[in-house]
Amino acid sequence: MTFRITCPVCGSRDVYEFTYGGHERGPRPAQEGLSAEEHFRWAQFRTTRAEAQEEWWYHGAGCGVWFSMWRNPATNREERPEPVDARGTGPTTEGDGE
Amino acid sequence: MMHQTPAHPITPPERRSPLLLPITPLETERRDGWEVVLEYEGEGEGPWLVDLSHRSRWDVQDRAIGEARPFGLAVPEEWGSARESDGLLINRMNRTQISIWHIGPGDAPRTRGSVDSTDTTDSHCWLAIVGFGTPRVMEALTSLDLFPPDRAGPRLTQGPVLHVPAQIVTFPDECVLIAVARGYGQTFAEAILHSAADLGIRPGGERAFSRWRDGRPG
Repeated sequence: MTFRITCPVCGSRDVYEFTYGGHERGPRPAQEGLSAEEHFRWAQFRTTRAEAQEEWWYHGAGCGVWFSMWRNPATNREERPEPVDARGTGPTTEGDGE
Repeated sequence: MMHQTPAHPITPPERRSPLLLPITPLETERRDGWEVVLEYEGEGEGPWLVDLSHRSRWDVQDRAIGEARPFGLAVPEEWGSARESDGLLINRMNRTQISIWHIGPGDAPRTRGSVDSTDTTDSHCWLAIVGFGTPRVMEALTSLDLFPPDRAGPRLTQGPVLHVPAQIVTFPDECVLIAVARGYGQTFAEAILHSAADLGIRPGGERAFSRWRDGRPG
């Protein structure tokens, strides 16, 4: 298995230069009133969607930058979902995580 | 209190290259605590692997790095570009960081201008691969595309060479500079010599690099 990832600093590179940092989970739930189960679900649960999702990647063999990007795990292609106003969902964060 | 001159001249501390190349030096020079090999026995016609670890390097990080003037020099605007000026190579790493390498003749400058910098000279292994056939040598060491045809000047690439994270500056005229963490130095150099042995690469003294630097057109 191989595919390429577009680093915001270095451009398109082989996936083996990167480390996967998990999909974007959004902000941590507010501490007040947070139950143990809710916290557990936020911290530990991962989704495996067959559709585009926002992910964190680390370019360890290159520039050393953390960044987020949209990828479809079913195809390993970089693709962004439809704009928010068309589907009701969309990107939660933008740009690199430098 | 009177300031007294020491009875004996102060000698610079001993500094050692991270690598020892497997060939006998023909001529060496003591420089700022380093034992610099100027020429090796039987260097041949190149390409050469040259140890430049003794040459000065700095990292600079600033939120407004594009407006900084390290050593009084302008910073390249485009990420991945490099600019040579007054014997210094300024490499734009990303939005906030640059690295500066001393490649010129003579001593490295002491005045760094108004920016805060980190001296990284003793923390890197810095090598040059220079001479005819350098692009073919690099093809044996990395899958990175280091010589795109639309590039005229020096260019910085950050990526793996022999699976080691490296900063690589490519010049279009048969020279590549590679900086890796110091701890990789010895085995990294041995692996380069082994991987490109069939292309004729041999250890070269600093003069091999100086000849390339001073012999460029323009």
